[in-house]
Amino acid sequence: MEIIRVENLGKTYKIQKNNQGFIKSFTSLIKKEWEQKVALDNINFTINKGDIVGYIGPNGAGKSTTIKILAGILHPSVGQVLVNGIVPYKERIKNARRIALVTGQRTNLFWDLPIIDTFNLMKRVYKIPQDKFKKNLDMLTDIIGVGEFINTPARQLSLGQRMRADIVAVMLHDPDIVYLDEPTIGLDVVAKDSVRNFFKAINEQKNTTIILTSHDLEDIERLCNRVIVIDNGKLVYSGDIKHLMSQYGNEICTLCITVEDDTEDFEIDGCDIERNLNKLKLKFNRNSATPPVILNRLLERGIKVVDFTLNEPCLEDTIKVIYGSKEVGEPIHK
Amino acid sequence: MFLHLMVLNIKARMQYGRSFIYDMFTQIMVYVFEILIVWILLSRFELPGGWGFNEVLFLFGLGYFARAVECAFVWDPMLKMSDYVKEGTLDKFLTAPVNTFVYLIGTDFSVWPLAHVFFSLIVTIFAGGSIGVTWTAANIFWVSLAAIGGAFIYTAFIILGGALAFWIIKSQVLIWMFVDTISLINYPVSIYPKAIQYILSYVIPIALANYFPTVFILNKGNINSLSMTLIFLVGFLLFCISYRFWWFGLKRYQSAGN
Repeated sequence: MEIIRVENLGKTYKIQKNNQGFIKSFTSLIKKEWEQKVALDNINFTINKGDIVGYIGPNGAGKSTTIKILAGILHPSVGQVLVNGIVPYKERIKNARRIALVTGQRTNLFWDLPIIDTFNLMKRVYKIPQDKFKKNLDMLTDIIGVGEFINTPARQLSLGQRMRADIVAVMLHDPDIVYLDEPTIGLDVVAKDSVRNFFKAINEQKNTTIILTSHDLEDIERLCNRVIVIDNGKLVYSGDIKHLMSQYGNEICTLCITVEDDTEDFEIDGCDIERNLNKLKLKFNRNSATPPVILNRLLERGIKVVDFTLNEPCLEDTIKVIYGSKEVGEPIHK
Repeated sequence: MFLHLMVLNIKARMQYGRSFIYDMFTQIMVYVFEILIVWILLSRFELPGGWGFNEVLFLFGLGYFARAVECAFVWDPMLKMSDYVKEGTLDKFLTAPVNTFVYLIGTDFSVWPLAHVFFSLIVTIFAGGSIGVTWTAANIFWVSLAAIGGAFIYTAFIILGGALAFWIIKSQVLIWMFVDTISLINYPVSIYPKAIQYILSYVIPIALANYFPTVFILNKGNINSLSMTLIFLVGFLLFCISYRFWWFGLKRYQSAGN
């Protein structure tokens, strides 16, 4: 079932031109120069109920802008957005009852008060009936384990504990959709894991739709069944992770070899070689060459390999390829 | 919800019991010193129109009441508006299914100005006693009405200042400028040049908060109970306008982004 529909979405910011030079900075006081910055350009996608979607792109690609529009905080310049059958920025309050927004770098907790006080406030803000509140709090506490510090003021919590408490605070009203903006930023490995497991569990138990932006691609790989990639305000890819990898990632495999010191420079067909003293990086396309073939070639030439490792493509490399492709002006595939 | 937030803020402040008491103490000391300055000035110079120290003290108390009420409710959040807009921290308030303005000012409700509220009331009542104000039910009613109106006027201007943050990021400067202007009403506006009297009565009508009610209660001029009602209405109207203006700014923020 479709829960989010985004059509021809575009957002243009009007920003003041940054004048360089001393005199210009004065003239700009009188006559301001504006320029249009396109943050989003003709974005289209739909998201089904129960999906966990990774929304990825480099800094400034337009991820936060999209999330803000979906959450009803910002109005788009052009296009249409439907969330749960309503237009979020027109019926912000109605939309707010059914969503949750978690931002990794910020906290909604009362700094000086035990976190249970914030939970009670949420109960009032979202008008959660007592029995539902009790049930949800018990369930959430169970999964993510905030029980032991529920009476501790937020300021005394570690970042991981605070994040968990923040997550509980926004999940108490059973949102249909959760927007996670960098939920694991700054967390240690264990805390990251517990956050990921939590959302996985919530998704399974309540069929909650989750939209996740993160620069930690492990978050995406572990959680998401679908990714949407945007770059420079444009949609680059929308589909499952495996397909994304085969579309971009297969092209780069890296074979790192260490050879004996006196080896001379050489070339191998279909291989891009970077040499740093006796360490070589051979980058090649999986479709045109395989590691055994390359190793055979090396042996044929009598090159003595001391050591080697093979790096298979991972999502991170794939994303690097996508981000990088715009710089060299390659056409963007869809 | 607003009451809930108020209680939470008071509770949060009480977490630092001792510092809370110091805070209150400092606030009251600031207040006492300001009164001291008025006293020193008035013992050296005589104000035209029969304004003695006690009369000015009454004026002072009423003015401070308006300011203290404003401080408790909107001072912190409106001063923070610039940061909220700059850092995008408004998101938290915009994604909650409640009145954004109420949620915002409730969250930043300050406890320390309550000391001012009580102290200004004590000063007003004490000064009223020493200048022979008879506290009949009617007098109490009219002065209270005007005092509430005055608090509304003060609040309205701070909200306007805060709302300007949606257009000009550094709107705190305007708020501070306003507060500095306002210290003029610590003295009866009748001592100022006509132009300033005019500004303080009609343009930034903050003199309504204390000068006119004082004149009314002391029977110093042509001010009657109708004027007191008018002060309340003006205050309420200004408050409504500033409230609308804040929402107008928010709409702009939402469609323009930052």
